[in-house]
Amino acid sequence: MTHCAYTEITDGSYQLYLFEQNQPVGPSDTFSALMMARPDFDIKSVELPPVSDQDIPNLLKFKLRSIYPGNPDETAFDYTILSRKNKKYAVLFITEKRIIEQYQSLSGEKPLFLPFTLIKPLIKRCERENCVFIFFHTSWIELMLIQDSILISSFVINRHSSFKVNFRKLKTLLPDSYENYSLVCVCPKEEESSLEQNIKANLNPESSYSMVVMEELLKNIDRKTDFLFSEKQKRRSIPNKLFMYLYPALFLILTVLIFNKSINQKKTYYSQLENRLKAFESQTLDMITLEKEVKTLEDEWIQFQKRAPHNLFFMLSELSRIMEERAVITYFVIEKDSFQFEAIGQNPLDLMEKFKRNDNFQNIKLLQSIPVQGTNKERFKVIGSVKNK
Amino acid sequence: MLRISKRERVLLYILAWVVIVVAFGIYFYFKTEEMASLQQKTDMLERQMQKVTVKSPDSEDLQVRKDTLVNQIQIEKEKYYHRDDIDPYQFSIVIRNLLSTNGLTIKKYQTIELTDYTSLEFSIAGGVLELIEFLKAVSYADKHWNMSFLTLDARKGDGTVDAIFRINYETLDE
Repeated sequence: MTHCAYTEITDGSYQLYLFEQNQPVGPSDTFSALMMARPDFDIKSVELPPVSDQDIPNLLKFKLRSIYPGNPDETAFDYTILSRKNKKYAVLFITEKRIIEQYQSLSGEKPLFLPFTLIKPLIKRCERENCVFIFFHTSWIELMLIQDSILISSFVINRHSSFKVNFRKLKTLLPDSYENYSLVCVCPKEEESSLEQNIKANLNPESSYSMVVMEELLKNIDRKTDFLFSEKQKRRSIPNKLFMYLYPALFLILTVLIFNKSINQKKTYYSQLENRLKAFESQTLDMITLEKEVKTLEDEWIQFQKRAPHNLFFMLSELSRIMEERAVITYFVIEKDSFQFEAIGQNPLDLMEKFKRNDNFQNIKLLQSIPVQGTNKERFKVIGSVKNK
Repeated sequence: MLRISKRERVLLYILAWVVIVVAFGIYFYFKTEEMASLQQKTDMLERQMQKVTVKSPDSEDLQVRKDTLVNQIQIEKEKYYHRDDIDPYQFSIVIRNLLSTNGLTIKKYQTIELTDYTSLEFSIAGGVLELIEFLKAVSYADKHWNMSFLTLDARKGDGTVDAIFRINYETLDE
């Protein structure tokens, strides 16, 4: 919020000005917040007894009767709380209801504030020392005396064109020991150097002072600013007592949520496992089916192999290979698996050993062997069978 | 409006908290039970998963084996005649032509009617090598020809052989 406006009374009526331009503007012009004229308000600081936040408005309303002479029905006030060492103080901003209504009408329901709103964030900076804030506005000057972070008093004077006149008036409002206070001057940027020179000239050399440019303070205005006469903001505050119940409730809710999340995670994992197992089961079922199919096919293949006719050419080739050139088959008969042959050759017993070692034949028997006269050969008969595949 | 004293208010707060704590206690009890039950089920499933994972055979190997068998059986089936493909007379012509091609002389041939099929009996003569070639052709024919009986007589010793064989073709009954 950088576009803030302020008000001046011209010919008995309020006129709006933008801080940046110092030119009159209409209510419809763009600005974010309106600084009300300090002379329209009385500012009082009240120490609060230990009461709940809810009770503070009523308490202040009651106290107002003793510190403000105006008709209570026609009086409007707002407050802001300052705390120091377990003590609470309310800074009251008091004015007439009609004035506030005028400001609200002028601002078009935009937030309202006073110089104190701007210097409130600065109060913490001068916690260790007592401060005097002097807020220089075009037509008035506000003086705020801060002790131990608490606003002790606030005064406003009409601004004279001569600094000396203004300073003389201000000195009458300051405490006697004002030179021990830290002086903070808030003024527009354009006045900073001239004011600083004047202050320097009028203060003792030992006195400390600092200059704060108003435009810098205006930059700090945002939604979190403690605006005045804003009902909405007051309603927003949550009573401290409620936190006593909110925290345990929050703790319980969080515990339940964490517990639920943990259970849900477990459920998800379980569900994933279940799905994976189902997939495995389905896969296993497919595997069993496949195994059965393979078994059936193997059986079918074995049947085919059994049924296939013997390869006679291969069988005769094997017989020839076993007998080599030592024997010649003269007669051969085979019916189904069984065969018999007659051959002439050498050493048939040696041949029998070879037959035994051959995987293609079984039950080989030498039936008869008759030496052929005049040669070293024998005529022999062999029976046997072809091995089943 | 009902006005209650401070003592009553404190008692009400205590009662409210007791109710809340009891409600949460019951809630946590049931949820803890649910959690324990879930943990038990999860453990069981994890054990089952381990078993299933260990036992699972290699499906790829089985699939390859199946495909190989299907292929082999298909090839084997194609080696059999169907009933309408051939008859004994056509088969006789095939064998007779094969014998002639290999230079073997047919002395006699006849059909023998058996229960399930008809067999052909050939009595032939010719060279040993020619007969071997014929047997090779029969053994490695595209179709299964079954030579259920064969006699070879080479006792003459002149390099010729007399042979008698029975042969039939194999059919596939579907």
